[in-house]
Amino acid sequence: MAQNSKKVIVDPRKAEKRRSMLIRIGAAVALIAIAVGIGLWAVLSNESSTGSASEVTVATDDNAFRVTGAPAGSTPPAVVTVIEDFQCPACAQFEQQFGPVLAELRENPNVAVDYTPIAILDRMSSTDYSTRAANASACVAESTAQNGDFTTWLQFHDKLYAQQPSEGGAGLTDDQLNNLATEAGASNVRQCIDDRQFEDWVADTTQSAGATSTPTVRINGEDVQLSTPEALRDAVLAATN
Amino acid sequence: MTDTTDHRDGTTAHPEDAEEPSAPRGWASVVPASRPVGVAMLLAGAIGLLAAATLTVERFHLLVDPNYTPSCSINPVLSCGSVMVTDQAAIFGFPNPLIGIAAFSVIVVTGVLATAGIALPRWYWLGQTVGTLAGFVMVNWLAYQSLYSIHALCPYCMVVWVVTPLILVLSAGRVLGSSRVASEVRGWLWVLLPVWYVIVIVAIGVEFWDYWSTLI
Repeated sequence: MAQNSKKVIVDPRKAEKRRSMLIRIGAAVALIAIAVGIGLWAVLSNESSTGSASEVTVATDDNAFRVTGAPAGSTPPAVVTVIEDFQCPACAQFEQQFGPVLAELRENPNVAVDYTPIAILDRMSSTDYSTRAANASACVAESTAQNGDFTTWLQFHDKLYAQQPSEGGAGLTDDQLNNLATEAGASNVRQCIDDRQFEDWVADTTQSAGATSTPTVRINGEDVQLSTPEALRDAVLAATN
Repeated sequence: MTDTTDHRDGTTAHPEDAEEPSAPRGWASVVPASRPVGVAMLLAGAIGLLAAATLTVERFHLLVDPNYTPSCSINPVLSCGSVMVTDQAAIFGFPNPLIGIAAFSVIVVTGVLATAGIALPRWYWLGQTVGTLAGFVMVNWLAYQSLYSIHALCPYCMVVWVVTPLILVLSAGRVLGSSRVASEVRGWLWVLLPVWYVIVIVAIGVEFWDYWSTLI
Protein backbone atom coordinates (compact mmCIF):
# COMPACT_ATOMS: atom_id res chain seq x y z
CA MET A 1 0.00 0.00 0.00
CA ALA A 2 2.79 2.35 0.97
CA GLN A 3 4.55 1.46 -2.23
CA ASN A 4 1.42 2.29 -4.15
CA SER A 5 1.02 5.78 -2.74
CA LYS A 6 4.72 6.41 -3.26
CA LYS A 7 4.30 5.55 -6.91
CA VAL A 8 1.55 8.12 -7.31
CA ILE A 9 3.67 10.86 -5.80
CA VAL A 10 6.66 9.99 -7.94
CA ASP A 11 4.71 9.90 -11.19
CA PRO A 12 2.05 12.64 -11.38
CA ARG A 13 1.40 11.82 -15.04
CA LYS A 14 0.31 8.36 -14.02
CA ALA A 15 -2.00 9.80 -11.39
CA GLU A 16 -3.42 12.20 -13.96
CA LYS A 17 -3.94 9.32 -16.34
CA ARG A 18 -5.68 7.32 -13.65
CA ARG A 19 -7.88 10.25 -12.75
CA SER A 20 -9.06 10.80 -16.32
CA MET A 21 -9.59 7.06 -16.67
CA LEU A 22 -11.85 7.11 -13.61
CA ILE A 23 -13.76 10.09 -15.02
CA ARG A 24 -14.33 8.20 -18.25
CA ILE A 25 -15.49 5.05 -16.50
CA GLY A 26 -17.81 7.17 -14.38
CA ALA A 27 -19.22 8.89 -17.45
CA ALA A 28 -19.70 5.57 -19.22
CA VAL A 29 -21.50 4.11 -16.20
CA ALA A 30 -23.70 7.20 -15.88
CA LEU A 31 -24.65 7.19 -19.58
CA ILE A 32 -25.36 3.46 -19.49
CA ALA A 33 -27.50 3.90 -16.38
CA ILE A 34 -29.49 6.64 -18.15
CA ALA A 35 -30.03 4.41 -21.20
CA VAL A 36 -31.14 1.48 -19.05
CA GLY A 37 -33.40 3.79 -17.03
CA ILE A 38 -35.10 5.10 -20.16
CA GLY A 39 -35.51 1.51 -21.34
CA LEU A 40 -37.09 0.40 -18.06
CA TRP A 41 -39.40 3.39 -18.11
CA ALA A 42 -40.44 2.60 -21.68
CA VAL A 43 -41.17 -1.03 -20.80
CA LEU A 44 -43.09 -0.17 -17.64
CA SER A 45 -45.17 2.58 -19.23
CA ASN A 46 -46.22 0.17 -21.95
CA GLU A 47 -47.11 -2.55 -19.52
CA SER A 48 -50.67 -3.81 -19.86
CA SER A 49 -52.87 -1.78 -17.55
CA THR A 50 -55.14 -4.72 -16.77
CA GLY A 51 -52.64 -7.00 -15.07
CA SER A 52 -52.74 -10.67 -15.92
CA ALA A 53 -55.75 -11.92 -13.95
CA SER A 54 -58.72 -13.35 -15.82
CA GLU A 55 -61.23 -11.89 -13.35
CA VAL A 56 -62.54 -8.34 -13.61
CA THR A 57 -62.02 -6.95 -10.13
CA VAL A 58 -63.98 -3.73 -10.68
CA ALA A 59 -67.22 -5.61 -11.43
CA THR A 60 -69.87 -6.53 -8.85
CA ASP A 61 -70.41 -10.13 -7.71
CA ASP A 62 -72.97 -10.40 -10.53
CA ASN A 63 -70.28 -9.40 -13.05
CA ALA A 64 -71.86 -6.00 -13.61
CA PHE A 65 -70.28 -2.57 -13.90
CA ARG A 66 -72.14 -0.60 -11.25
CA VAL A 67 -72.56 3.11 -11.94
CA THR A 68 -74.14 4.95 -9.06
CA GLY A 69 -74.18 8.14 -7.05
CA ALA A 70 -74.41 6.05 -3.89
CA PRO A 71 -71.32 5.62 -1.70
CA ALA A 72 -68.93 2.94 -2.94
CA GLY A 73 -69.69 -0.55 -1.65
CA SER A 74 -73.25 0.19 -0.60
CA THR A 75 -76.31 -1.07 -2.45
CA PRO A 76 -78.94 1.62 -2.97
CA PRO A 77 -82.65 0.70 -2.74
CA ALA A 78 -83.16 0.57 -6.49
CA VAL A 79 -80.82 -1.35 -8.78
CA VAL A 80 -81.46 -1.18 -12.51
CA THR A 81 -79.69 -3.93 -14.40
CA VAL A 82 -79.13 -3.46 -18.12
CA ILE A 83 -78.07 -6.67 -19.84
CA GLU A 84 -76.80 -5.87 -23.30
CA ASP A 85 -74.79 -7.14 -26.22
CA PHE A 86 -72.67 -4.67 -28.18
CA GLN A 87 -73.59 -6.44 -31.40
CA CYS A 88 -77.34 -6.13 -30.82
CA PRO A 89 -79.15 -3.41 -32.83
CA ALA A 90 -82.01 -3.30 -30.31
CA CYS A 91 -79.46 -2.48 -27.60
CA ALA A 92 -78.16 0.44 -29.65
CA GLN A 93 -81.71 1.61 -30.10
CA PHE A 94 -82.44 1.17 -26.39
CA GLU A 95 -79.33 3.14 -25.57
CA GLN A 96 -80.43 5.97 -27.84
CA GLN A 97 -83.94 6.06 -26.42
CA PHE A 98 -83.31 5.33 -22.72
CA GLY A 99 -79.74 6.68 -22.42
CA PRO A 100 -80.70 10.14 -21.12
CA VAL A 101 -82.96 8.71 -18.42
CA LEU A 102 -80.29 6.18 -17.40
CA ALA A 103 -77.80 9.05 -17.16
CA GLU A 104 -80.24 10.89 -14.92
CA LEU A 105 -80.80 7.81 -12.76
CA ARG A 106 -77.04 7.26 -12.41
CA GLU A 107 -76.84 10.62 -10.63
CA ASN A 108 -79.48 9.61 -8.11
CA PRO A 109 -77.84 8.41 -4.87
CA ASN A 110 -80.77 6.02 -4.30
CA VAL A 111 -80.24 4.29 -7.63
CA ALA A 112 -77.50 2.10 -9.09
CA VAL A 113 -77.30 1.20 -12.75
CA ASP A 114 -75.66 -2.19 -13.27
CA TYR A 115 -74.38 -2.61 -16.81
CA THR A 116 -73.87 -6.23 -17.75
CA PRO A 117 -72.39 -6.71 -21.22
CA ILE A 118 -72.89 -10.26 -22.42
CA ALA A 119 -72.10 -12.10 -25.66
CA ILE A 120 -75.00 -14.00 -27.17
CA LEU A 121 -74.61 -12.80 -30.75
CA ASP A 122 -71.19 -14.17 -31.68
CA ARG A 123 -72.81 -16.02 -34.58
CA MET A 124 -73.88 -12.66 -36.05
CA SER A 125 -70.31 -11.78 -37.00
CA SER A 126 -67.50 -13.72 -38.58
CA THR A 127 -65.10 -12.69 -35.81
CA ASP A 128 -67.02 -13.28 -32.54
CA TYR A 129 -67.54 -9.55 -32.30
CA SER A 130 -69.91 -9.84 -29.32
CA THR A 131 -67.26 -11.53 -27.22
CA ARG A 132 -64.47 -9.26 -28.43
CA ALA A 133 -66.47 -6.10 -27.74
CA ALA A 134 -67.60 -7.31 -24.29
CA ASN A 135 -64.01 -8.31 -23.52
CA ALA A 136 -62.75 -4.89 -24.66
CA SER A 137 -65.27 -3.16 -22.43
CA ALA A 138 -64.08 -5.30 -19.51
CA CYS A 139 -60.50 -4.28 -20.39
CA VAL A 140 -61.43 -0.61 -20.30
CA ALA A 141 -63.32 -1.04 -17.01
CA GLU A 142 -60.49 -2.96 -15.34
CA SER A 143 -57.97 -0.42 -16.58
CA THR A 144 -59.80 2.80 -15.70
CA ALA A 145 -62.42 2.13 -13.01
CA GLN A 146 -60.23 0.96 -10.13
CA ASN A 147 -61.44 3.99 -8.14
CA GLY A 148 -65.09 3.19 -8.85
CA ASP A 149 -65.38 5.89 -11.52
CA PHE A 150 -66.84 4.38 -14.68
CA THR A 151 -66.83 7.61 -16.74
CA THR A 152 -64.26 6.30 -19.20
CA TRP A 153 -66.02 2.97 -19.44
CA LEU A 154 -69.35 4.72 -20.16
CA GLN A 155 -67.70 6.72 -22.93
CA PHE A 156 -66.32 3.55 -24.47
CA HIS A 157 -69.74 1.93 -24.07
CA ASP A 158 -71.38 4.85 -25.93
CA LYS A 159 -68.73 4.77 -28.65
CA LEU A 160 -69.30 1.06 -29.20
CA TYR A 161 -72.98 1.75 -29.89
CA ALA A 162 -72.24 4.81 -32.00
CA GLN A 163 -69.93 2.69 -34.17
CA GLN A 164 -71.92 -0.53 -33.94
CA PRO A 165 -71.11 -2.78 -36.91
CA SER A 166 -74.01 -4.27 -38.82
CA GLU A 167 -74.93 -7.87 -38.16
CA GLY A 168 -73.51 -10.47 -40.51
CA GLY A 169 -70.22 -8.62 -41.08
CA ALA A 170 -66.78 -8.89 -39.56
CA GLY A 171 -67.39 -6.39 -36.77
CA LEU A 172 -64.81 -3.86 -35.66
CA THR A 173 -61.22 -5.07 -35.65
CA ASP A 174 -59.17 -5.34 -32.46
CA ASP A 175 -57.27 -2.29 -33.72
CA GLN A 176 -60.48 -0.28 -34.03
CA LEU A 177 -61.60 -1.41 -30.57
CA ASN A 178 -58.26 -0.31 -29.17
CA ASN A 179 -58.57 3.05 -30.93
CA LEU A 180 -62.04 3.60 -29.49
CA ALA A 181 -60.74 2.66 -26.04
CA THR A 182 -57.89 5.14 -26.43
CA GLU A 183 -60.29 7.84 -27.61
CA ALA A 184 -62.46 7.15 -24.57
CA GLY A 185 -59.43 7.73 -22.35
CA ALA A 186 -58.11 4.25 -21.60
CA SER A 187 -54.44 3.46 -22.11
CA ASN A 188 -52.40 0.29 -22.53
CA VAL A 189 -55.40 -1.97 -23.13
CA ARG A 190 -54.17 -3.23 -26.50
CA GLN A 191 -52.72 -6.41 -25.08
CA CYS A 192 -55.90 -7.12 -23.11
CA ILE A 193 -57.98 -6.65 -26.26
CA ASP A 194 -55.64 -8.65 -28.48
CA ASP A 195 -55.34 -11.53 -26.02
CA ARG A 196 -59.07 -11.50 -25.11
CA GLN A 197 -57.95 -11.49 -21.50
CA PHE A 198 -61.50 -11.59 -20.09
CA GLU A 199 -63.02 -13.92 -22.67
CA ASP A 200 -63.85 -16.59 -20.08
CA TRP A 201 -65.22 -13.97 -17.72
CA VAL A 202 -67.52 -12.72 -20.49
CA ALA A 203 -68.68 -16.30 -21.12
CA ASP A 204 -69.39 -16.72 -17.38
CA THR A 205 -71.32 -13.47 -17.33
CA THR A 206 -73.34 -14.48 -20.37
CA GLN A 207 -74.29 -17.73 -18.70
CA SER A 208 -75.00 -16.38 -15.20
CA ALA A 209 -77.00 -13.40 -16.48
CA GLY A 210 -79.61 -15.83 -17.79
CA ALA A 211 -80.92 -13.45 -20.40
CA THR A 212 -82.15 -14.96 -23.64
CA SER A 213 -82.55 -11.68 -25.45
CA THR A 214 -80.98 -8.26 -25.26
CA PRO A 215 -81.50 -5.73 -24.00
CA THR A 216 -82.93 -7.16 -20.82
CA VAL A 217 -83.77 -4.62 -18.13
CA ARG A 218 -84.30 -5.62 -14.52
CA ILE A 219 -85.30 -3.57 -11.53
CA ASN A 220 -84.06 -5.19 -8.33
CA GLY A 221 -83.73 -8.49 -10.13
CA GLU A 222 -87.19 -8.48 -11.74
CA ASP A 223 -87.43 -8.41 -15.53
CA VAL A 224 -89.39 -5.40 -16.69
CA GLN A 225 -90.84 -4.46 -20.07
CA LEU A 226 -91.03 -0.70 -20.41
CA SER A 227 -92.01 1.09 -23.57
CA THR A 228 -90.92 4.60 -22.70
CA PRO A 229 -88.03 6.17 -20.78
CA GLU A 230 -90.56 7.92 -18.56
CA ALA A 231 -92.06 4.58 -17.58
CA LEU A 232 -88.57 3.36 -16.65
CA ARG A 233 -87.93 6.44 -14.57
CA ASP A 234 -91.22 6.09 -12.74
CA ALA A 235 -90.73 2.38 -12.08
CA VAL A 236 -87.22 2.94 -10.72
CA LEU A 237 -88.21 5.89 -8.56
CA ALA A 238 -91.10 3.82 -7.22
CA ALA A 239 -88.59 1.14 -6.25
CA THR A 240 -86.51 3.61 -4.27
CA ASN A 241 -89.33 4.20 -1.79
CA MET B 1 -8.44 24.70 -24.90
CA THR B 2 -5.39 24.38 -27.15
CA ASP B 3 -2.33 22.78 -25.80
CA THR B 4 0.50 24.94 -27.04
CA THR B 5 3.12 23.07 -25.11
CA ASP B 6 2.32 19.89 -26.90
CA HIS B 7 4.95 19.26 -29.49
CA ARG B 8 3.56 15.96 -30.61
CA ASP B 9 0.43 17.42 -32.17
CA GLY B 10 0.13 15.54 -35.42
CA THR B 11 -1.20 18.25 -37.69
CA THR B 12 1.53 20.82 -37.14
CA ALA B 13 5.07 19.89 -37.92
CA HIS B 14 7.81 21.08 -35.61
CA PRO B 15 11.18 20.57 -37.27
CA GLU B 16 12.97 20.85 -33.97
CA ASP B 17 10.96 18.00 -32.56
CA ALA B 18 13.38 15.13 -32.95
CA GLU B 19 12.88 13.37 -29.67
CA GLU B 20 9.80 11.46 -30.89
CA PRO B 21 10.76 10.20 -34.31
CA SER B 22 7.95 7.70 -34.44
CA ALA B 23 5.20 10.19 -33.66
CA PRO B 24 2.92 10.89 -36.63
CA ARG B 25 3.40 14.25 -38.24
CA GLY B 26 1.25 15.10 -41.23
CA TRP B 27 -0.85 12.73 -43.26
CA ALA B 28 2.08 11.01 -44.97
CA SER B 29 3.79 10.16 -41.70
CA VAL B 30 3.56 6.58 -40.57
CA VAL B 31 1.64 5.57 -37.50
CA PRO B 32 3.53 3.09 -35.34
CA ALA B 33 1.90 -0.30 -35.45
CA SER B 34 0.32 -1.58 -32.30
CA ARG B 35 0.04 -5.32 -31.97
CA PRO B 36 -3.04 -5.42 -29.66
CA VAL B 37 -4.88 -3.05 -32.00
CA GLY B 38 -3.84 -5.20 -34.95
CA VAL B 39 -5.02 -8.42 -33.32
CA ALA B 40 -8.33 -6.83 -32.25
CA MET B 41 -8.88 -5.50 -35.75
CA LEU B 42 -7.97 -8.83 -37.32
CA LEU B 43 -10.47 -10.66 -35.10
CA ALA B 44 -13.25 -8.09 -35.59
CA GLY B 45 -12.65 -8.06 -39.35
CA ALA B 46 -12.65 -11.85 -39.57
CA ILE B 47 -15.87 -12.13 -37.56
CA GLY B 48 -17.52 -9.47 -39.72
CA LEU B 49 -16.29 -11.19 -42.89
CA LEU B 50 -17.68 -14.51 -41.69
CA ALA B 51 -21.06 -12.95 -40.93
CA ALA B 52 -21.23 -11.17 -44.29
CA ALA B 53 -20.19 -14.31 -46.17
CA THR B 54 -22.75 -16.44 -44.32
CA LEU B 55 -25.50 -13.93 -45.06
CA THR B 56 -24.56 -13.92 -48.75
CA VAL B 57 -24.58 -17.71 -48.93
CA GLU B 58 -27.93 -17.85 -47.12
CA ARG B 59 -29.27 -15.35 -49.63
CA PHE B 60 -28.19 -17.67 -52.45
CA HIS B 61 -29.97 -20.60 -50.78
CA LEU B 62 -33.10 -18.51 -50.42
CA LEU B 63 -32.98 -17.56 -54.11
CA VAL B 64 -32.65 -21.17 -55.20
CA ASP B 65 -35.40 -22.34 -52.88
CA PRO B 66 -37.87 -19.68 -51.67
CA ASN B 67 -39.07 -22.11 -48.97
CA TYR B 68 -35.56 -22.44 -47.54
CA THR B 69 -35.33 -21.65 -43.83
CA PRO B 70 -32.02 -19.90 -43.12
CA SER B 71 -29.92 -21.24 -40.26
CA CYS B 72 -30.47 -18.01 -38.33
CA SER B 73 -34.27 -18.07 -38.41
CA ILE B 74 -34.76 -19.22 -34.83
CA ASN B 75 -38.07 -17.65 -33.82
CA PRO B 76 -40.38 -14.82 -34.93
CA VAL B 77 -38.06 -12.15 -33.51
CA LEU B 78 -34.69 -13.69 -34.28
CA SER B 79 -35.11 -14.33 -37.97
CA CYS B 80 -32.94 -13.44 -40.90
CA GLY B 81 -35.20 -15.00 -43.52
CA SER B 82 -37.77 -12.27 -43.12
CA VAL B 83 -35.09 -9.57 -42.92
CA MET B 84 -33.08 -10.68 -45.96
CA VAL B 85 -35.98 -10.32 -48.38
CA THR B 86 -36.76 -6.69 -47.49
CA ASP B 87 -35.84 -3.66 -49.61
CA GLN B 88 -33.61 -2.45 -46.79
CA ALA B 89 -31.47 -5.58 -47.18
CA ALA B 90 -30.40 -4.37 -50.62
CA ILE B 91 -29.87 -0.62 -50.26
CA PHE B 92 -27.97 -0.25 -53.54
CA GLY B 93 -29.97 -2.82 -55.46
CA PHE B 94 -27.80 -5.79 -54.51
CA PRO B 95 -27.58 -7.60 -51.15
CA ASN B 96 -25.82 -5.48 -48.51
CA PRO B 97 -23.53 -8.33 -47.30
CA LEU B 98 -21.65 -8.13 -50.62
CA ILE B 99 -20.37 -4.74 -49.44
CA GLY B 100 -19.48 -6.42 -46.16
CA ILE B 101 -17.42 -9.10 -47.87
CA ALA B 102 -15.33 -6.49 -49.68
CA ALA B 103 -15.04 -4.10 -46.74
CA PHE B 104 -14.24 -6.63 -44.03
CA SER B 105 -11.53 -8.13 -46.27
CA VAL B 106 -9.75 -4.78 -46.16
CA ILE B 107 -10.09 -4.73 -42.37
CA VAL B 108 -8.62 -8.24 -42.14
CA VAL B 109 -5.62 -7.16 -44.26
CA THR B 110 -5.10 -4.06 -42.13
CA GLY B 111 -5.31 -6.21 -39.03
CA VAL B 112 -2.71 -8.61 -40.41
CA LEU B 113 -0.34 -5.76 -41.33
CA ALA B 114 -0.69 -4.11 -37.93
CA THR B 115 -0.21 -7.44 -36.17
CA ALA B 116 2.93 -8.03 -38.24
CA GLY B 117 4.30 -4.74 -36.98
CA ILE B 118 4.12 -2.89 -40.26
CA ALA B 119 3.58 0.84 -39.77
CA LEU B 120 1.00 2.33 -42.11
CA PRO B 121 0.77 5.97 -43.17
CA ARG B 122 -1.72 8.11 -41.39
CA TRP B 123 -3.74 8.74 -44.57
CA TYR B 124 -4.29 5.02 -44.82
CA TRP B 125 -5.91 4.96 -41.37
CA LEU B 126 -7.90 8.05 -42.27
CA GLY B 127 -9.24 6.32 -45.37
CA GLN B 128 -10.20 3.27 -43.39
CA THR B 129 -11.84 5.43 -40.73
CA VAL B 130 -13.92 7.29 -43.32
CA GLY B 131 -14.95 3.99 -44.90
CA THR B 132 -15.82 2.43 -41.57
CA LEU B 133 -17.74 5.57 -40.61
CA ALA B 134 -19.90 5.06 -43.71
CA GLY B 135 -20.40 1.46 -42.60
CA PHE B 136 -21.30 2.61 -39.10
CA VAL B 137 -23.90 5.05 -40.47
CA MET B 138 -25.34 2.17 -42.48
CA VAL B 139 -25.39 -0.06 -39.40
CA ASN B 140 -27.35 2.56 -37.49
CA TRP B 141 -29.85 2.94 -40.30
CA LEU B 142 -30.24 -0.81 -40.69
CA ALA B 143 -30.63 -1.33 -36.95
CA TYR B 144 -33.33 1.32 -36.90
CA GLN B 145 -35.11 -0.29 -39.85
CA SER B 146 -34.78 -3.73 -38.33
CA LEU B 147 -36.30 -2.67 -35.02
CA TYR B 148 -38.99 -0.24 -36.06
CA SER B 149 -39.89 -1.12 -39.64
CA ILE B 150 -39.15 -4.82 -40.20
CA HIS B 151 -39.77 -5.83 -36.58
CA ALA B 152 -37.32 -8.71 -36.68
CA LEU B 153 -33.69 -9.20 -35.76
CA CYS B 154 -31.22 -10.98 -38.00
CA PRO B 155 -28.48 -12.57 -35.86
CA TYR B 156 -25.71 -12.43 -38.50
CA CYS B 157 -26.58 -8.79 -39.19
CA MET B 158 -26.25 -8.06 -35.49
CA VAL B 159 -22.76 -9.57 -35.54
CA VAL B 160 -21.91 -6.81 -38.03
CA TRP B 161 -23.57 -4.25 -35.73
CA VAL B 162 -21.19 -5.40 -32.97
CA VAL B 163 -17.89 -5.37 -34.87
CA THR B 164 -18.36 -2.26 -37.05
CA PRO B 165 -18.33 0.35 -34.24
CA LEU B 166 -15.38 -1.45 -32.67
CA ILE B 167 -13.41 -1.25 -35.92
CA LEU B 168 -14.40 2.41 -36.24
CA VAL B 169 -13.02 3.27 -32.81
CA LEU B 170 -9.83 1.28 -33.44
CA SER B 171 -9.26 3.00 -36.80
CA ALA B 172 -10.07 6.49 -35.56
CA GLY B 173 -7.66 5.94 -32.69
CA ARG B 174 -4.81 5.42 -35.19
CA VAL B 175 -5.68 8.62 -37.08
CA LEU B 176 -5.75 10.71 -33.94
CA GLY B 177 -2.05 10.30 -33.21
CA SER B 178 -0.53 10.68 -29.80
CA SER B 179 -1.01 14.30 -28.75
CA ARG B 180 -2.69 14.89 -25.41
CA VAL B 181 -5.88 16.16 -26.99
CA ALA B 182 -5.86 13.17 -29.34
CA SER B 183 -5.48 10.64 -26.54
CA GLU B 184 -8.20 12.44 -24.64
CA VAL B 185 -10.54 12.12 -27.65
CA ARG B 186 -9.49 8.50 -28.09
CA GLY B 187 -10.31 7.81 -24.46
CA TRP B 188 -13.80 9.24 -24.90
CA LEU B 189 -14.38 7.16 -28.02
CA TRP B 190 -13.89 4.10 -25.82
CA VAL B 191 -16.53 5.52 -23.48
CA LEU B 192 -19.02 6.03 -26.30
CA LEU B 193 -18.53 2.52 -27.67
CA PRO B 194 -20.08 0.58 -24.75
CA VAL B 195 -22.73 3.28 -24.38
CA TRP B 196 -23.72 2.75 -28.02
CA TYR B 197 -23.93 -1.00 -27.43
CA VAL B 198 -26.11 -0.53 -24.37
CA ILE B 199 -28.44 1.87 -26.21
CA VAL B 200 -28.95 -0.69 -28.98
CA ILE B 201 -29.45 -3.53 -26.50
CA VAL B 202 -31.96 -1.50 -24.50
CA ALA B 203 -33.82 -0.49 -27.68
CA ILE B 204 -34.02 -4.17 -28.67
CA GLY B 205 -35.18 -5.11 -25.19
CA VAL B 206 -37.93 -2.48 -25.18
CA GLU B 207 -39.12 -3.00 -28.75
CA PHE B 208 -39.52 -6.75 -28.40
CA TRP B 209 -40.47 -6.76 -24.72
CA ASP B 210 -43.75 -8.56 -25.38
CA TYR B 211 -41.79 -11.38 -26.89
CA TRP B 212 -38.94 -11.49 -24.36
CA SER B 213 -41.42 -11.47 -21.47
CA THR B 214 -42.97 -14.68 -22.78
CA LEU B 215 -39.58 -16.38 -22.52
CA ILE B 216 -39.11 -15.54 -18.84
